[in-house]
Amino acid sequence: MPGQHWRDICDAVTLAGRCGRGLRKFSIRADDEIVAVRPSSTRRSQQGFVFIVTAIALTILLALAALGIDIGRMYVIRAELQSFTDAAALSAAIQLDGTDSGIANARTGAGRLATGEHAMQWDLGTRPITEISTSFSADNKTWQEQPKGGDYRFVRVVATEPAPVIFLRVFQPLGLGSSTVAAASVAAKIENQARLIR
Amino acid sequence: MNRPRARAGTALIEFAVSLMLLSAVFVGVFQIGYAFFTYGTLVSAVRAGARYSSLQQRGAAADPEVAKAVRNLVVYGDPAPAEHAKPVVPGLATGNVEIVNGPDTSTVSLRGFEVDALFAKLKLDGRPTVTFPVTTGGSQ
Repeated sequence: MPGQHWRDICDAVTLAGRCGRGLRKFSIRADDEIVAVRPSSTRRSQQGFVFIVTAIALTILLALAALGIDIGRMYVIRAELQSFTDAAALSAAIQLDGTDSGIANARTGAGRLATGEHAMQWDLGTRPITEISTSFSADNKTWQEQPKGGDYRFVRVVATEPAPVIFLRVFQPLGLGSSTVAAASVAAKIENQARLIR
Repeated sequence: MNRPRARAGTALIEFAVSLMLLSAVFVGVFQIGYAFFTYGTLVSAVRAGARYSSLQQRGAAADPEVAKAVRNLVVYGDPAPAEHAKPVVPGLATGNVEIVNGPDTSTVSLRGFEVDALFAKLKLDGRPTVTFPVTTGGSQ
């Protein structure tokens, strides 16, 4: 509103109770004309200070949220996979009978609980478990994926899934968008019973 | 004139806006964290129930007393809970536990349960699900 008489503005803004503040945006020349001026430099430097502090605090908070959310999610996924491998190892071990066909049945038995109507799932029970590896041992020390002819009574089931990460991507130089979570269980067939070893 | 007062007001408004943003973040992190924590607890509760059920004799698994024990184990962490036992997760009831006993498996899952994360609800229907095989006497 340059060119206006200052009293007009002052009267108008006084009614709104902001005369003092409003006037500081103008300077009044000797002939009572007003001209617009830019806000004082001190005022400008103070504006937005809280926002800057908030932005820094928010960055730190989001990094903490990374721990809370992404790692929390990974722990849930591991618990789900662990429940699955426990059951799958038992399901495989019960099939072991010291023959090659027993081992083939055990391999099928391990994957059986990941499919069908009552399939166990991961990521808060929303995604099917797909990466299941099975290995066998006769002495609970050396493990073989494809054993031939031998009395294999131990079976190990490992389930591996890529847990999606949202915030932890910052720490991944390749930006994979996921982090691998795995769970393993070992079961043995002892005296016609399947038992969890670990 | 009243410069300092005007400046203090600006900071207050900025603080108020920032507080809204920060509290939204806090609320979000709390909700998600609580939901994950609760879900983890439910997974281990359901797992215990399924394992318990799979270890019962097949004939006995149809027994209502066994089913009751399984439900109690899931909800209270004990097949025979004390009088005023607290559920492992607030609001969880024995009615939310579904048991399906097959010829050689036992499945336990939750039906129609909502995790109350204060600001939002997580609906759990059919999850978590855990199936355990029957592990005695070979594959007959």
